[in-house]
Parts: sequence; C-alpha cells; structure tokens
Amino acid sequence: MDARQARPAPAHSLDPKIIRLWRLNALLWGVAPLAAMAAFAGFLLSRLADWTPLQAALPLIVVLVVTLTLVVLVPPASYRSWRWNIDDDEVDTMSGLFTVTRRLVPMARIQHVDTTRDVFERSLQLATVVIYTAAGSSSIPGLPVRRAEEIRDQIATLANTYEDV
Amino acid sequence: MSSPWQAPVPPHPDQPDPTAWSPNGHAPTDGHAPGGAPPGVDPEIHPDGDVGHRERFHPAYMLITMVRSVRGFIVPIAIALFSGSRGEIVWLLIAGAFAALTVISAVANWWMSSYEVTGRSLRLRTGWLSKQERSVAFERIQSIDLQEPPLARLLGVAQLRVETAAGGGANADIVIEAIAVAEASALRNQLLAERAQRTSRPAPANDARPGTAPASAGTVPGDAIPAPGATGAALAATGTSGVSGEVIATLSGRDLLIAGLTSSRIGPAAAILAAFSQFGDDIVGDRVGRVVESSAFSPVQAVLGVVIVGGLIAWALSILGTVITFSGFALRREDDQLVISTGLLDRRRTTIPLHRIQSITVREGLLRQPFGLASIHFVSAGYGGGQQSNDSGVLFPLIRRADVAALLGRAVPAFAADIETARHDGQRLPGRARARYVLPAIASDITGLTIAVAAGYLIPFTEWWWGLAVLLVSSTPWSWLTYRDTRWAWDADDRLIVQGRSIARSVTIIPRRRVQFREISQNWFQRRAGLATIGVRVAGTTFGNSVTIAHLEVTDATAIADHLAIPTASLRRRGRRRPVPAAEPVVAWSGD
Repeated sequence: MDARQARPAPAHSLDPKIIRLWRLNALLWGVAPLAAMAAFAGFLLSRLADWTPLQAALPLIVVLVVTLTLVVLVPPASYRSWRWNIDDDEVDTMSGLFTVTRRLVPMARIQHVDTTRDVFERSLQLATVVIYTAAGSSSIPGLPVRRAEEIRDQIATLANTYEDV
Repeated sequence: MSSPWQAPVPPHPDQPDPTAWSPNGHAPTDGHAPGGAPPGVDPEIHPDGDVGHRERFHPAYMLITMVRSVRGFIVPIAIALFSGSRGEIVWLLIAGAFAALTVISAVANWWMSSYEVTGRSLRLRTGWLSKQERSVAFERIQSIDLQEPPLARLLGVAQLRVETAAGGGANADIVIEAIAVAEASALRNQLLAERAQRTSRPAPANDARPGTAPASAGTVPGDAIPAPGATGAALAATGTSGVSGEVIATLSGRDLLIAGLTSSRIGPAAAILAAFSQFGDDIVGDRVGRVVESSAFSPVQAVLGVVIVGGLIAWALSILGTVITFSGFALRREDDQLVISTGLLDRRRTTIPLHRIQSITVREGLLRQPFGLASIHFVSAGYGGGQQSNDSGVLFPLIRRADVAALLGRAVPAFAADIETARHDGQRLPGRARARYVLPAIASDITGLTIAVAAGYLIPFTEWWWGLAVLLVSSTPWSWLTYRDTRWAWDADDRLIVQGRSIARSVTIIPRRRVQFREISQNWFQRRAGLATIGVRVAGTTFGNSVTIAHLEVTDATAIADHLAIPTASLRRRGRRRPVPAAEPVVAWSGD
C-alpha cells in the first residue's frame, strides 16, 4: 500500500518556477564543473595520448548528454513529487523520487524559522522557508516571496505560543 | 560548599593576590575597559555594574600552553633536529626565537585570560593578540564538565568546560583551561546552585506521569545497585573533591575487567592490528616467509596461528582501552542532575541535567548478550561531552540486564520503562519484511564471496581465502537476526520502546514528549509491498534518526507517526516561550 493512501498527501505543491531554479542550479553547480573536467580530460588525452580532436571531444559529449538529460528530466519529476502543508498542528513535507520521505514537524517543536533567498531565487522572486528544531532543520523551497514571508510569520506566531522542549 | 567568590582568597599559594589585578586595582587594559571608568564598572558592556572578581587561570596554564605549542610544532622540530644542520647558527637563532615566542605568548596568554563570576553570568576573557570575551548566563548553562587530562593532573589542575544548548558541536562555550582542582569543584557547585536558583524549571521528570516522578529522591546514599557480581566496591578515588549526591552505581574492578573482556572495542583494535601487520609485513615479510618455510607448520597453520595471536593481542588492547576509559566509573544523582565520573588517565566528571536527557539506549554487545550483560547510553541535548562529542554518553558501562530497570528507576525515572515486557509483547515486523532484510544481505554476501573466491584462485599463496569467505557470508544471518529482533511497543507512560540491532542488540526508550519530529519514507519496492520505514528524532541527534524501524506495515508506521503528533489543543498556552527572561544570552565578541 502506498503511504499516501494511509495518510493523504499534503495539500500544496511548490511554485512551478522552482523547476527553472533547480535547472539553473544544476547547470551551474553540476553540469558546468563536470563539463570543464571532461573538456580538460579531453585536452590532456589529445596532447598525451595523441587522440584526434573528435575522440578528445568524446568525454565532453558524453558528460553533456547525460547531465543535460538529467537536467531536463529530473526537476519536473521532483516538482511533481514535492508536497507540503502547514496547519495549526504541524509542518508536513513530502518529497523524493525513488524514496518518498515525509517529514512531520510539530509546531510545538519549532525553535525558529528563517526565510532565505539566494541570487537565483531572488531573480525568480522565490524564497525558501527553513524550520529549525532541536534535532535539525526542515525546509520548503520554491515559495513565492510573499507566501514565504506569510508562512514564516504564521509558523513563528504558532510556534512561539507553546511550551518549550 | 562555601563559595570563595564573595571574599576571594588566593586559590593557590603561588597565584598572585586577586586584588592586585582585579578591575578595582590596575586592571589589565583589555581594550573595552577604558582607563577612566569607575572602579569595577564597565559602562559599555555592563551598565548595571554586573561584575565579580576576575580570577586568572592557574599558573600551570602557562606550562600547558607551552607543551601544546611545542606539540604543534613537533614535526618541524624533529626535522630541524635530524636534518644534520644542527650546529648552524641560523637554526639556533630560529630555535631560540621560537622558544622565546612560545614562552612570551604562554605568559601573555595566562596574564590576559581570566574568568569572572558576575551577578548573573560566568564571563571568560581570553586571548592576547586577539581578545575574546564571552558571557554565559547562569540559566543558559546546560552542562559542566570537569576534565583532568594527564598533564593537567600532574600539575594538580583541572579543565572546566561549561556548555550551553548553542554549542552542539565539540567546542564547549566556556573552557577554563586550568583551575586548581578544589577550586574547580567549588566553582562548579556555585554555578549549579546559581542555575538552580534562576531556573524555575520543574525538577527532573516533568514529562513522567505523577506516579513515576522521582521516586528515588529519598533513597539512602551509598545504597548503590550492585552491578553484575559487584561487592559494592568502594568508590575509586576520583581525585576531585566536592563530589556530592546519592551514589547510584559504581563499577567494581571485576566488572571493569568483564567490561573489557566483552567490549566491542575488539573490532577496532583488530583493525589497527591488521593495519600494523600490513606495515610490518613490508619490513619483516621475507624473514617471516623463511621461518614459515623452514618450520614444521603448513602455511595454513601459520596463518591461523598469526590470526589467533593477533586476536589475543587485539583483545588485550580492548581490555586496556576499557580500563583506561571506565576505571573508577561512578554514577551519582544530585537533585535534578546526574554526575558521571570516569577515567584512569584522562579523568572527567560530567554533569547532565535530567531534563536534558532525550533518550536512553540499552545495548547488548555481541559478547555481552549471551551473558545477559548490557551497557546503558543516553542522548542529551546540548551536551558536547568534550572531544568525543557525538552528544551521547555512557550512563553505565556494564550492568546485568535484570538490574537495568532498577538503575533507570533511580537515575532517570522518566525513562524507567519495563523493557523486558516490551521485548516480549512488542509488535513485530510482518513476514514479508523478512525478504527485504535478508535479500540485500545475501546479494552483498554473494558479491563478497565471488570476489574472495576469485582472489583465492588468482593469488596462489593465499590458500586461506576460505577464512575470509566465512567472514564475508556473515551478513546474511545477521540481517535475519535484525529482522527477528526488531519490535516496538508503547508503554503505559507513553514511551516508545524500540528494539533493534546493528551488530549489538539494543533497546531505545523515547518518551513521547521528547520526540522532535518523525519521518516516514517509502521507496519504490516498499510501495509495492505496502511497507514503510519510520524514523523518530529527538534533540541532540542532528545527524540521523534516534530510532529507525525499517519495513513495517504502512498502517503501523502511520499509526506511530499519528500517535506522536502534538495537537495544538493539547498544549498549555504560555504567554512566552521560556519561563526564564532572556537575561543575558551567550555573548561573544572578539577584537584587537
């Protein structure tokens, strides 16, 4: 049985713009370094092992094909798998492609809440809400800035009202 | 314990009179205390005149820092000494400069470092070139550790470490590097008293049901639970005076030895030994080979002999390690906190407030389970525990399983669960989970075995690959044991009791109210089989779940998660978050 039948999945999805954000991040932090390494390897092989230019370009081509396929396919799938919900009792997040992990954080356990925005997020008017407990943090990425701030304030108000650990 | 802080007495004969350098006198110019300020008042930082007497560290601190810096430069020093350029004047100059710098910085460091107990906080000033000041309000103190590393012990001083919840990592928030032992105890008691006075937090088991509240508060001191075979062994001298509180249990010499004999350190010890033998092989390999060839033993017998001798040495090392760590182990309870003292060379005394303890694990090591022996561990929030952090500690290193309940009842009443009942009546995993435990293990065993057989076939001299093979197939029966041993139960006091196994079998007790959050995960295969994995996390376990139950029914996982929910309606509303006003948080600044 699917865990989502035993307990309905959280109501909300992320902002669809998150797909673009994830792609940008993957290109910058994943594809670019790997491509640079493959290009360098090709360069070395052409110099030291007398590979023809076509052969030397092979590592780069392989890397680009594989990573770009992932960049095209993975973010939409992650977007579809991501669900979240916040009510008076808890913050409920669900994500994951192969392994779907659902994390339930009671309001009463939240120590503090942050919203963070990196450069890409700013350019897309997105924000991430990070929830801290005494045992680690949980975050909801890709929320419209306004929404993120509302959520942060909502959690802060709710969480602050209750007894400590 | 009387506190020497109201009327400071020179704590050590060779320490200068405190008044000579207290802020009332000619204070060391430490940047933020302008010379014109009225005596004892620093208008910038302490507007309310919140000051106490500054105490320098013990003078032994100078020697300790010198030894530390020499140790840091041991490699360059060794290179300089053995590089054959000993006589050259340049080297002498460099060495001289280094020595002078070491001495100067040690003295300056000592001169500029001080601690101070003010009206509401412990303040520490350190640093010479770059100064740092840090205050920890009494009510923020989570734990106080007293440590005596070997060198400090030779010099008759201790190291006092004060931690707050902010720490989390291996670094204590305030470390008084060297303080006379008697003084350390006095300071510790004073800090604890101050904290108790300021914290309106209800004593220990505020999450236990009324019936299980501190029942042992009135028990007779010294009435320790006899650990296995113990004869109520006299408490080994801990060297630190000022120890008070009810002794809950001590580890006798005999138990210490049993703990060593059955310790799981034998694994790491064997690994170290194996690494050494690899090393030694390169050096004496040929000779050993010749001896083996010329002797009456077959290679197989020789290898077997080496393995047996190596195992014995590893065992001896593990016994030694246990003795060094747990010698003189004593567990005491002082009102609402536990005091654990232990160690042969590096003696330490740890204070843990009961309300910070998040979970308790009873672990039955491989060699201990057959004898009904176990060790007890705790996870505590905001306790760095010194270098070997990990936020978890040993509550008691060796105990008979039958005595566990009694010890928990006296030491940590909030965790005094009936483990044995939970073990027998607990819920088990469904039958179809078995394959999910065993199949991956079989797959990994087959892979390992294939590699071993191939290696044994290809490398001619290693006729003993079958020995490795035995080790390599071991994970299959293990996974089956894990499946069989996994069970969980809720007890009458709403504690989640989970038995599991990695190598050792363990039972973890988590009161419902200690749970921070929980996770249900399901991979593709589990989804098809209607199984799920649940993880439960308590404070102090940032890097993993406190308890994970893999492959249970989805409905069971959801039921556990639901039971751990904290509905808003059930909570008492409070006007503010903490009962204590945010008087003086941990403040740190540094500058030059």
